[in-house]
Amino acid sequence: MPREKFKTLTEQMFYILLCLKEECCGMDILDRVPEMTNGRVNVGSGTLYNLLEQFLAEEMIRETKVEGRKRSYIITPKGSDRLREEYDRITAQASDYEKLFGGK
Amino acid sequence: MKRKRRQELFAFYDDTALKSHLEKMAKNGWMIEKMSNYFWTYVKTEPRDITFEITYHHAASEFDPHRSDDQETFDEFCEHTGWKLALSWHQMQIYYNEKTSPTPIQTDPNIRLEAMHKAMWSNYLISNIIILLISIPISVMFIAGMIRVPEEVIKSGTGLFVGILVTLLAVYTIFDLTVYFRWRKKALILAENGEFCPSPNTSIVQRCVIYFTYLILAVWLLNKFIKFDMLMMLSIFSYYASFAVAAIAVNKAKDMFKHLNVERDMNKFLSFIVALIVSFITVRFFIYIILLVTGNREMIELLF
Repeated sequence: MPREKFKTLTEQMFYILLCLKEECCGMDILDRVPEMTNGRVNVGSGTLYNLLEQFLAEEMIRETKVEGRKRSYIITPKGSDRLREEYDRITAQASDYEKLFGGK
Repeated sequence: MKRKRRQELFAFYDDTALKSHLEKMAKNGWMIEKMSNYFWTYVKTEPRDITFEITYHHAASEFDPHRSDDQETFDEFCEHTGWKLALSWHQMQIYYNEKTSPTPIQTDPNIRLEAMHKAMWSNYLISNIIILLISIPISVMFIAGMIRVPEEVIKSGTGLFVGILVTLLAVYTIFDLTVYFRWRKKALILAENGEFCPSPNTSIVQRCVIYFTYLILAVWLLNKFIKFDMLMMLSIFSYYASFAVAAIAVNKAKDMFKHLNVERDMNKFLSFIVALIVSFITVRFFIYIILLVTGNREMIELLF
C-alpha cells in the first residue's frame, strides 16, 4: 500500500521530504514545515511519526544519527527522485493553467 | 479529589463520538482519568475548554508494564505541538490539548484510517471473530430447534433464554463488524480526496441491545422464581457471580504484574494461569454452596 500512496505525494509528504534535504530530526520538521509555508501547511505529530516510518520502509529517507530517543534523518537519492517527479508534475500543472488563464 | 464513575457505551472505532464526549465532560468540569471494560473514572476539575484527540497504536497492550520507546517518541512528538497524554487503554491513546485550534495529531485521513485498522486487527476484530465462531453454531442450533420443535425449546426455559441471548450476541457482533467495514470503505474513498469521515455512531443500537439483555435476564430469573426453582436460580446467580469474581481477580492480578514491571507476554501468561485457578476455585465453591443449600449431602460427599 505504501507503494500506491507514494505515486503522488500529498503536500504534507512533499514538505517533510523537502525538510529532509538536510539532516533534520523529527521534532524540528514539525516546526519547519509551517515556517516554510507561512502556516499554510501543518503536519500533525502522529502523521509525521507514521510518515517517517513509511518513508524509512520505502528507503526514501535514512537515519543519520540517534541521540537517545532523538532520531535524525536525511533524504536518499530515491527520495530525491520522487520529490523531483512530484515537482515536475506540479510545474506541468502550473504551466497548463498558465496556458489557459495566463500567468500571474 | 472528587471522582465519578460512569458506564459508557462507545464502539472502539468511534473516535469522533468519543472525542466529543470527553470534550463535553471536560467543559462540565470532569476530566477522564481511567477507562475499563466496566466503567470509566472521571476526576472533578475546573471546567476546561480543551481539545481531545484519539489515536490508535497497534503495538500497545494493556499488559505493557510501561510505555515502549516507540510510544514515548510518539508522545514527545505530540507534546511538541501541545498534546499531552490523558490515558492509554488497549490500543487507544487519548491526548488533550489546551491551546485554541491546535494542529491535530492526525492531519492525513489515510494514515488515521490505517492506524485504526491495524489497531483493530491487533485485538478487537480477532476477539469478535472468536465470539462469532462460538456463538454462530449455538444460534443456528437454537433457531433450528425453534423451527422444528418450538414447544420443547420454550418449555426448557434455560434453553430458550440462553438461545435468545447467544443469538442476540451473534447478530449484534455481525452488525458491529458490518458497520465498521462499511464505514471504512466509505472513509477510504473520502480520504483519497484528503477528507476526514466521522466515525459511525451505534450507541442507540448498543443501548437497545443492553436493555433487551437485561430484560431477558430479568424474565429468566423471574421465571425461575415463579417456579420456585431455587436450584436453577442459585445456579444462574453463581454462574454470573463466578464470572464477576474471576474478572475482578484477573484484572487485579494483571495490574499487580504491571506494577511489578513484568513484561507483556509473561503478564498475559501469568494472568491466564490466575484466571484458570480462580475459575476452578469459584466454580467448586459455588457448586458446594448450591449442594449445601439444596440439602444434597450424598453429592457433597461424592464430589468433595
